[in-house]
Amino acid sequence: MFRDEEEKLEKWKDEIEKKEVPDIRLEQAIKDGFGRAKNVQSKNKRRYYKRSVWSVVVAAILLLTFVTSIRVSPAFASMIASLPGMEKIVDLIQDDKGISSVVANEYYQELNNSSEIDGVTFTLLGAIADEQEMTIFYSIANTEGEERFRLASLDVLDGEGNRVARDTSTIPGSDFTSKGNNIEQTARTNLKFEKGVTVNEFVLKVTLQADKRSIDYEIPFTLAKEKMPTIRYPINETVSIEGQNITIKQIEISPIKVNVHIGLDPANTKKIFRFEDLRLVDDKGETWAIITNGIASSGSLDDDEVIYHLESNYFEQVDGLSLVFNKLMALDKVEAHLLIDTDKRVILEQPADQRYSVLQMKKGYFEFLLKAEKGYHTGPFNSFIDAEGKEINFTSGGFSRSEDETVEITASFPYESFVNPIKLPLYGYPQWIEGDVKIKIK
Amino acid sequence: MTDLELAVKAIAGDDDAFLLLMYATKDALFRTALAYLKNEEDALEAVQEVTFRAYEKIHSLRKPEYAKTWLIRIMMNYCRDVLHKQKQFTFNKEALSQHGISENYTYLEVEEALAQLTEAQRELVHLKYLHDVKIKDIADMTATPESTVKTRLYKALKSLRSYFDEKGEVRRV
Repeated sequence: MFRDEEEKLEKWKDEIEKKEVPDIRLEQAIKDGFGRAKNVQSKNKRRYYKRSVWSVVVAAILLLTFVTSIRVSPAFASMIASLPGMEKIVDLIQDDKGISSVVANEYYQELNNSSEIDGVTFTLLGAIADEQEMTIFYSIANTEGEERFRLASLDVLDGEGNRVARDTSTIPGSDFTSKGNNIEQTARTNLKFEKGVTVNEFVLKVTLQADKRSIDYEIPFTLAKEKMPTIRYPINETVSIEGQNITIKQIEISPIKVNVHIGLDPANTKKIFRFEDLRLVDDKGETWAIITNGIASSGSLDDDEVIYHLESNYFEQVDGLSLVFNKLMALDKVEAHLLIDTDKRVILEQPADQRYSVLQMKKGYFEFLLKAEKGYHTGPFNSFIDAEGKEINFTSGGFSRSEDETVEITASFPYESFVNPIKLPLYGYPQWIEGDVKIKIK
Repeated sequence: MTDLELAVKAIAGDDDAFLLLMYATKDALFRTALAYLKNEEDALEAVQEVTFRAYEKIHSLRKPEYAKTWLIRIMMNYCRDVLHKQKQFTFNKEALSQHGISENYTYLEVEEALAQLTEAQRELVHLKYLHDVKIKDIADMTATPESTVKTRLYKALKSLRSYFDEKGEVRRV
């Protein structure tokens, strides 16, 4: 139909392609641009992290805090490192006081079960298990090439092939250089036992993935140590912070972690997004905080019930123990959403202090600026409800701090039609309420 | 590693993969810049700027299979900005006398005709005829129905035709 035009365009293309490309200068231009981008990134001390999907936020608020300081004392770390076979797991436990204490109290079970396939060795270094959970430590070493493998799947099965635990989070350690300059990577994975699991013999099934191949391992292991029972403290005490009622229902202390069950009064005027500083404190002032690497809390904000996970003090001899908190991230329920129109590219409704502004709104995604002080790093939304009541999840979300007081928030729409305007329920906002709560446990 | 694997890793934040992806796309980026900006120095600067922008934005790329086209579109956006500024602030005589890529008559004729198109039309023609991106992929990438893309392309070609025809008539006169 447009043969002449297409022929002309073809000639036009040929002419452009005849032009020689200055390869070296071009690569230099790319390197320069990349260098500039890296420079800006480090200048802004940008803490950038990305989640493939934000929808996990509802089920479990992941606090992806970067652990920059070693929280366990260096003397303690070196003590553990000096134990044979333990040097590899030191950096895997020092972000969590509870787990470190488990290891120090010989509740850690060393396994060192290895399997080598095609030059790649997977070693199950050891495990910790209590009634509810299990944490496994492992390493991956490629003895032949430089390929890096990542964990594609991990399952723990019983002798009959039934899954007995599901993984909740994986925390990578640092790389070790082992024999022949090969890189050995370490990591730990936390798993939650399915209900009613009593067996002690397991099979770890793992798939490792590199760029061009994947390898499957099956590693049997036995937990010889007795699983220590969970200690439960029923509390049922209701406190009030700035008029918001919060009930501490029960506290469970097990070797791996402490679970604090919290109920939120449906009549509260504010939506409570987060307990910022929930902690256990003993009479000497020692504290056990919210787990920073892994899942910090689970349960749904919308159901007014949430479980916080703290570091465990199971093995510590403590005198007098209290649950303490002072600061909650919260916002009036009536304000806790954004209403936007993606056609008109505007925010129609937002919380009264107007911290959101539009940077870009395109067909497939948007970028908002949010004024938020340092220390705010909560992904604010994960789904939206369109004008006809259809709920749709965003396909991905990004969160990055570009300047000291500003956060850039991006979200991408799935390929699904929806009707404007759309409502985005908020799951975080830089507003807090404060109080002084101390509940005696024992 | 395939381009797709590179793109997936680059989106996940792998710097090496990002650079390799840029290298794999450098010719297409350079040629796009050259077609818009008409000279090598500006085109090189454009590649640097697009690398910078792409690195900042790659986390928001949803479909790794279109990474290359996504980069080209960033380039086109950038070039349009540059041309806008040139128009706004300077009357660049030098730019008028720049010869650009080729002295070939058809090339110049097409360039002139392309300059008459709307920005969106020109982008479409570039993707389809310079970078050989399939209509289906353009539709998918921009979340636009295929039929709409076809209609837009049809309109773009039609307006190229009328430009060519007009010129032809002028010459005949």
